[in-house]
Amino acid sequence: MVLLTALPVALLGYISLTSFEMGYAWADREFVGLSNYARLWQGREVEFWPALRLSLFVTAVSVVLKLLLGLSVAVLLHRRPRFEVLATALLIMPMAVNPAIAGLVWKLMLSFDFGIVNAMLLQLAGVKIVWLGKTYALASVLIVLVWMHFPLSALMLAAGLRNIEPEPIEAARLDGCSEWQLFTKIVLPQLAPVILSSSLLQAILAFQTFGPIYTLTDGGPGTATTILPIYVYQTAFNLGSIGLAAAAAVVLVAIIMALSAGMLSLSRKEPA
Amino acid sequence: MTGRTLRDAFAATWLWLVCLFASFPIFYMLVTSFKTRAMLYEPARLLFSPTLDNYRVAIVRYGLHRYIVDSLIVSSLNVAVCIVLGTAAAYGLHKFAFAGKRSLMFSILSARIVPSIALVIPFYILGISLHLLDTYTILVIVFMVFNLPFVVVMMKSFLANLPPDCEEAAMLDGCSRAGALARIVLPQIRGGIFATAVMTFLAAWNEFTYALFLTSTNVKMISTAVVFFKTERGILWGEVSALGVIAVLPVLVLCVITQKYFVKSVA
Repeated sequence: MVLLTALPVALLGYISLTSFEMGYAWADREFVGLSNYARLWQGREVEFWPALRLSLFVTAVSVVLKLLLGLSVAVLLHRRPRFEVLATALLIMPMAVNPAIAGLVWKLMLSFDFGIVNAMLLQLAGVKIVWLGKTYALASVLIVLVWMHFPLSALMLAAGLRNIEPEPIEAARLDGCSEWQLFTKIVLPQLAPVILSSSLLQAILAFQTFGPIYTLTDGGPGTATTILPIYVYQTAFNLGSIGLAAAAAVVLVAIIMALSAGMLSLSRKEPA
Repeated sequence: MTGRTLRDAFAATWLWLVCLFASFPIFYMLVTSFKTRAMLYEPARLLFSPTLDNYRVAIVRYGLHRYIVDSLIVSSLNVAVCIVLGTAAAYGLHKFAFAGKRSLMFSILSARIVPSIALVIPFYILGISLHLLDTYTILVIVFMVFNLPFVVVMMKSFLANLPPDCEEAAMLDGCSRAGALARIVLPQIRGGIFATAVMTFLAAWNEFTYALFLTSTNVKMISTAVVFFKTERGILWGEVSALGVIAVLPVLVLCVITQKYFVKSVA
């Protein structure tokens, strides 16, 4: 079972050291050492650094948004609202949708001419926005990412809230603490480990998102939404420079591994 | 107390707004799938006489049933392999102490988060070399990368909750270890195995990246079908929505059935 991942990762590492190109025989590859990495590092592949930077930006912003949205919902769900089961069922619906369809259904809703989002904007504010144009494409990508993954944060945080002891909260309430003080001084510190681990998990998910962006913008317009996974796919399967793409993919794997190592060391500290 | 009721009203409004945000695209897809092409230009119109044309075209002209059958075949085979191997591995990890157990657990966990867009490159090359591209076999094997670790982790947690006494008693009474596993241990975690199988199935059913690059004309997964609905006249939104509904419905039904476990698995 270890072989199942170790073998392809090793092979990926090896491919990144070759000049293998799509359409050539595997036997024709040349061993080129670290030159693929050098090309990426020196910025000779002009799209690599911008893609990496954009990936980090998208990851950071989407994690914060998912966390805020997830936390607000988790807190409200925790107060046992009416129709709690219905609310939960509606909330987790995005988790059931496959990534390609998620991208497409948003592409339909954000369409300039016949998208429902613009139809509503026109009614409410009298404006229409070119959602998938140069200026707003990145915002659209963020909306879709948050939509896809915030329910996971909400569920994890709601579970975290259930595990908090109610007694100190009651005691503080009797002592005259305001609800806001209760939340920031007692609840949040206890929730911190869950917040941290769910954020890391979300960062791991966001950093490797491929499907929804592939169908929503395909990295465009231009390179406005070309994040690292899109760059890897375009280099490998559109340009055919598989060796070079493998080097970029190794960078992607390395960053994901660093994030997950952080997550694992966190989960060890927690008494499970 | 008006401040309090005002705040409660605000809280409830926010909660339901977020619920609307989460569920609206799926309902919108459902509505769009019943619209004729002309009606697409009236996005906000909710009242109209529904048509099943999109479903008919998706099935008759684009062979949607082929996608469903292929997805069912790949996902079911993958579930079967993962459940058998994963349960065995979890039992081994649970029962026997051995060197490197901890690093084994780490590699199992890390397998689940390796980006598919990175691993698709070596799998693509293996697929070329072994002549496995565009076959059921390659997807069944490749999907193990993310599903097998999941089964192991889930099974291990179910096994950890079992009291060891029954199994030991059965073995004292002359049952073999395999016999004790089959007759005593597995029946007790039947519900857990079922829920795990459902979630494994859904992950395979919804997988996109590997399916997109490793298969094309022989094996057609429903998760990648949407890509083929782009024509030179643009995207066929009605048909895409019909396809989306067919792809998402079984998932929603299964999610509702296993909601209890589903919520537990992420917590």
